[in-house]
Amino acid sequence: MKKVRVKEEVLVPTAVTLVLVLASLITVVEVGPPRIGIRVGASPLNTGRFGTSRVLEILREEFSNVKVVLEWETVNKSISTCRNVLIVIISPEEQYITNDLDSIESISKRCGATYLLIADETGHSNSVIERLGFKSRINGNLITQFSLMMVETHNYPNFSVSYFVKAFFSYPSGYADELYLDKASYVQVVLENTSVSVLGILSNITGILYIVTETETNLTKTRLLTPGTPVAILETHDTSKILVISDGSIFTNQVLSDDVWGWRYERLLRESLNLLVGGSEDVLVLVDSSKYTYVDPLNMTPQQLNYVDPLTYVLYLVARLIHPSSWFPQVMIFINNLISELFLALGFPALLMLIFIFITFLVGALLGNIPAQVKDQAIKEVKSIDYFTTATLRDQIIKGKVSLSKRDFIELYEVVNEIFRNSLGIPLSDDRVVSILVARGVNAMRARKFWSSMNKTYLKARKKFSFPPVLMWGRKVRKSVEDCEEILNVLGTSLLKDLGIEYLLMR
Amino acid sequence: MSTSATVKATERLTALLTLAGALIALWAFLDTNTLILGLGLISLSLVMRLYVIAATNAAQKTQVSASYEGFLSSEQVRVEFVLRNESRVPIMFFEFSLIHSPYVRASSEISGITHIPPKSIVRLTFTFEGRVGKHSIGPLKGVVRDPLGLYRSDELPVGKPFSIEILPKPSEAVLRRMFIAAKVAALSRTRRVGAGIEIHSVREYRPGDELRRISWRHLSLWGKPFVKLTEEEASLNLVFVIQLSDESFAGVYGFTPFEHISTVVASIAKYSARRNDLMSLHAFLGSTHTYVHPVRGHKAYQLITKTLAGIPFEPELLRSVTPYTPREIINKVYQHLPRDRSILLLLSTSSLLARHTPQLLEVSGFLSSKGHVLYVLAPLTQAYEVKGLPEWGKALYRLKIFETLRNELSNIEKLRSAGIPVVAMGPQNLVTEVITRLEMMRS
Repeated sequence: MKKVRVKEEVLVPTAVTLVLVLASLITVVEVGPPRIGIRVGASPLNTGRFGTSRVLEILREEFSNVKVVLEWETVNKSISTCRNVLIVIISPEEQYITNDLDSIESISKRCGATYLLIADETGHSNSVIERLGFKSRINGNLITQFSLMMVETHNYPNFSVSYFVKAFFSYPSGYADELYLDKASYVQVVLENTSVSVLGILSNITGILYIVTETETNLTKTRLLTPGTPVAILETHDTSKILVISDGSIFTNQVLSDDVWGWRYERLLRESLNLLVGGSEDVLVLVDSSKYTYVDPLNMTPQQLNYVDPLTYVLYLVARLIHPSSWFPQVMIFINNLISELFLALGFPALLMLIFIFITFLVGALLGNIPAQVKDQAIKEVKSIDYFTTATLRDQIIKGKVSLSKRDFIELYEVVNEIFRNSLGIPLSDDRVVSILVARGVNAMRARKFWSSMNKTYLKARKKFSFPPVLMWGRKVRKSVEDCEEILNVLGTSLLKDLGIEYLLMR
Repeated sequence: MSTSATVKATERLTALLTLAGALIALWAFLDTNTLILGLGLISLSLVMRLYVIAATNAAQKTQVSASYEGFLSSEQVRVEFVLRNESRVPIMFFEFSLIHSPYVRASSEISGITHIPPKSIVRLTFTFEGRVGKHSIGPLKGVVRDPLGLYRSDELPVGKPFSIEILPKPSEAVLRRMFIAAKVAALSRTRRVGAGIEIHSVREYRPGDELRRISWRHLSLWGKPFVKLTEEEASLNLVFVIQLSDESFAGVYGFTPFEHISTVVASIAKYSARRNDLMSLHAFLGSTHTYVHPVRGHKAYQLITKTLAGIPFEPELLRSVTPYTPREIINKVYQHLPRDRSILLLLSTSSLLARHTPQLLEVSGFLSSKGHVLYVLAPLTQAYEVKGLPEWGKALYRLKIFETLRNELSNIEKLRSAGIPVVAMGPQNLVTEVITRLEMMRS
């Protein structure tokens, strides 16, 4: 089986990953905890008793495109165009700021028709109503009911009286019903404004109605209300409509989910929606959830816990706990305390030792991460060579490792003998060699000595004559080569030159 | 450049990191400047590493083209590499070294350091001493470093290897000599009357003879017109048979048997080309047979020299290859011989001939019976290998190899005594001398 060599390539090193994680943690801590809080008010995201998640469900039943608004600015940027928009605001707990209003106005201008359904007793939504050009306003103070005797005797049971008042609703579609309102306000209508239709009024008074503020302890600033005060109106402009009900509590989950009364309030809601957008198609529904306070799951009071769905609470609590903003600062504080208290308490020598250990680890990690080390050397050049079949012999000769022996003298003798045969026609052993050499200009004594020495030594090498013996054949061969070279030069050849004996022999 | 190369740290990085570590440690005793300096050094090393990685990547993507000028032996061959850096990363310290066949000698530096700016080209030029045969050149080996030498890349192959083919240079002296010799005992004499330039004889003038042929000397001597007759010049069929083994490439630079016989063949071929002789070449390289069809004139010269230039100069590859025997060679050559009388010039080393003397005698007899003539040119291996040694070394070498030399010479002598003209030669024999001895044998 063919083996496949797998090479692992690290594209993102561990060090880079760790640096990125650390940077992310610091960023998260710097940004601060997210708004992971449980909404305890009339937010559509609150599934508890005081939430309006049931309204959201009904809206989703009625319309296909329903969005919960957490930030008006973000929603504004996400919407390019729309045919119709329905904005639903129920008892906001905070005032709308300029950015919110600008965004709402921008959305309204970009959409063909704008519909507002406002169920609010606080008056916080008045700024929205005003920005969109409607004249009606919600008073914002609560209506309560006292008996005449209580007023006359100034015997107020410190607001333990009921905030429940009855209101009669009558819609152009034929819908009519009398319902209780809980902590309601009333709608201030400009009388000359003919585009306003009153849809609901206070009715069935059993006492004297006053408007109060929850914090007031006396009635000096109260105002007497008469039956027929509007609590629900419809104001119409060219391309926009607003339906205001001065009580948001009637659309909370605890009301809409009530087994006995719930269906009647639900019908009120559906009739209101139908009155506003009936017949319109392609409606974008924006349900405001941006103006409700968030309660940190870790800081909830037992009373607030009663209003929260247990499952929701657990989920929020887990999300809150695992977020780095919950634990990272604590870890940092712990490390800081450890260094400042524990390490400093160890004393200077121990601290110094710890620093050294840390640096050792740091350097070790850095060295471990660096690539394999090599000794930096220049690239080896290709060296030109000559090829020789007798390369070993040539190397030995060049390095001076060739030893000479008796055998080499025999070879020398054979070489010279061969040359004499070739050029003179007589062997070296022939005594006529001397006379021929003399005739060619060699000194007679020198010629005889050469001839005699070569032949005698040859006999010794052949062991035919051994006295006096040759003790150092190497020196003898070298000396003989020098002698032969002198004689061979006379014959026109050489042992030492390029144009050597082989050229004479190969002719 | 396609393979991925790795970047390695050098010993300088260890020194730098040690210094950085020491500075960081000193932070405990000194001020924060030492810490900043230590961290700065570490950051510097990281920056250098990133640079080397980027520059190595750029070097791997470098486009390389190569070309060479100079095609004759004993002349300079100029090889040029053009490196084109297509990236936007400058390759600041690019160390290079040219890989080439060890049997061709560079006469210029083959390594160095250069800078390749982004989106630009760099030309690197190398010079070699021309030597007959085919030689491998390239690729370039390159190493990328950072300016501080903290990191270096692996050795990267830059470009691809290519071959340069160097033609043998004919000896001008030989050409001049052969033109002169041809007039007296040249290869082309036929002894027949015909078209030519050499005077054959004279005869009496006949009507219709060209007036410019009248010999005025004979007219004044005999009182009647004679015309000069010229000797018909014959065209020769020359067949060069080259048998090469590893020994053919042994010797010092420029003086190997192969280079020597290439020059001889080129010189004869150039002369014969002017005479419009029919020439062919058979080169037996180890177990490979390269063949040039019989062609006339300058084209033959071109083909023959080109074939010689295409013979790879790689003796190591031939060491273990059994060469062709003379019988096998002649069998192959004979299939391509023209019907007319051909002159075969066998060029082989003395040791190869010595090994196959009986076979050579046999094939010589065979060729002779078919009307062909065989000449043998035998470079003496030992004579080529002794060159380059010191004086005393030459003497020792000659003593040590004398036995072999004598054996080879005796075999050459055997061939000669059998009537085969054999010219033994060494590097000291000039080409003119070799040709002269060939002519002497012919006459």
